[in-house]
Amino acid sequence: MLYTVTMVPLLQRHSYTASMQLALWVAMVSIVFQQFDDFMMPHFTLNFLTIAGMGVAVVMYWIPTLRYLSVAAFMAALAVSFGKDWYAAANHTWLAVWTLVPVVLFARWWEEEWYLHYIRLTLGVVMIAAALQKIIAGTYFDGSYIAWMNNYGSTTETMFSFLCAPGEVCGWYALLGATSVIWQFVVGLFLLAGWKNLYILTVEVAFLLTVGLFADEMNFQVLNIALLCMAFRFGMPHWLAYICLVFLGLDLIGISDLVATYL
Amino acid sequence: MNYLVADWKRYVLFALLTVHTLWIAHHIYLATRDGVNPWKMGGYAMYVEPKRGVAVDVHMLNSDGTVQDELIRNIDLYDLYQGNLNFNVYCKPVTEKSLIRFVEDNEFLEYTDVRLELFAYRFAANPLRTDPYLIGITDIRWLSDGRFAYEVKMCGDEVDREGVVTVEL
Repeated sequence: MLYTVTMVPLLQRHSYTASMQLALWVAMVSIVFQQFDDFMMPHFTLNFLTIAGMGVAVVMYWIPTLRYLSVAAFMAALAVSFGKDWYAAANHTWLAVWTLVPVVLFARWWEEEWYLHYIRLTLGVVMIAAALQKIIAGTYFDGSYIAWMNNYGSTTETMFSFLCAPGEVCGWYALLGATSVIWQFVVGLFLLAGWKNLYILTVEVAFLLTVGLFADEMNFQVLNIALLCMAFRFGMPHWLAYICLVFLGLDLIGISDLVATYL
Repeated sequence: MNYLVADWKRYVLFALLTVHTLWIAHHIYLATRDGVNPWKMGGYAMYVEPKRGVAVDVHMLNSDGTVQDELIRNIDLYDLYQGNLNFNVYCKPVTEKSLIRFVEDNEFLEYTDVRLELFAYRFAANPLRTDPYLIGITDIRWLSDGRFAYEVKMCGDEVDREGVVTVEL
């Protein structure tokens, strides 16, 4: 019985449509979780209303007849929330707005070649740009930023501090930094070229989850994972959605705080 | 013609992708010249270096124009930040409206001449550190009857904005 309840949904094969719709839902949930702190503010502000609206929309999403309406309502709330504080918004909120808001143009977006190309190319440009910024700054190839986080970061950001002496910028940090940048560049190239590769996506998902744990910022990584699942057109399997939801829940508490408390 | 109308959504997507890409390129240009906060404004340079914010120090100005070393503390800077895009665009001159709000938010500074010093931080290795550097100065000098004059210098010694404002006190 327990096996049936827990394992069967994880192992089930789902249609292309269902898994793509699940990916969009997880992306929407990651945005709600990211803005949860604003929701907990004691004031009945516009932010409160927009986040509450997004929360209602992600629940409505599970009613098939209301699905398009819920997506439209969610994107309207996201656009309003972003428009109010665009200059203070995190870069991943910008990414969510650029990639997800246009989904309202298409009732059956998962069948719309141009929208799927749009997400893929947008993510490709963003990955290449993010890698370029790191190369120009030089802080990854010399390992200095990884060293900074391992010396002055939160609990999880110091997870590689055993590699080098305190305060030192050693070769291991440079190796970690360079590997991250090169990998980001490779994923960007795959996206721009439209090479659909399950192995690349699998490694990238593992990479993003690790980075999410390291930086204690899981909502951004979950958004990326969901968008990549859409861009590569594999959709999101249930088991990956469960993992993402668990990590979003942990992120709400604060992974660094949990590690510091229990480990 | 019908084909063009039917495909308007595709043109919207193409336009969005183009604008987004151009903005990212512009952000890279600005970020490499310390013109914008790498973590903000939609440029994807977060985690390139430690989180950057701009700090605002407030000092009292003497009548001879010299600045007192001691910081004035417990200042409400919320509206000053909000009125200047949180200082995420480093060389954008401080706005007149935000200075009025700053004065209104900090009534205890009425008729006190002050200098606002804006600092950003630059990341450096060997040893690992973040060095503050001055990005702007704004002087507020009170005249009389609720009027003050202000002078804003950002990213250099040239005056970027100046004026005289009357506030209701």
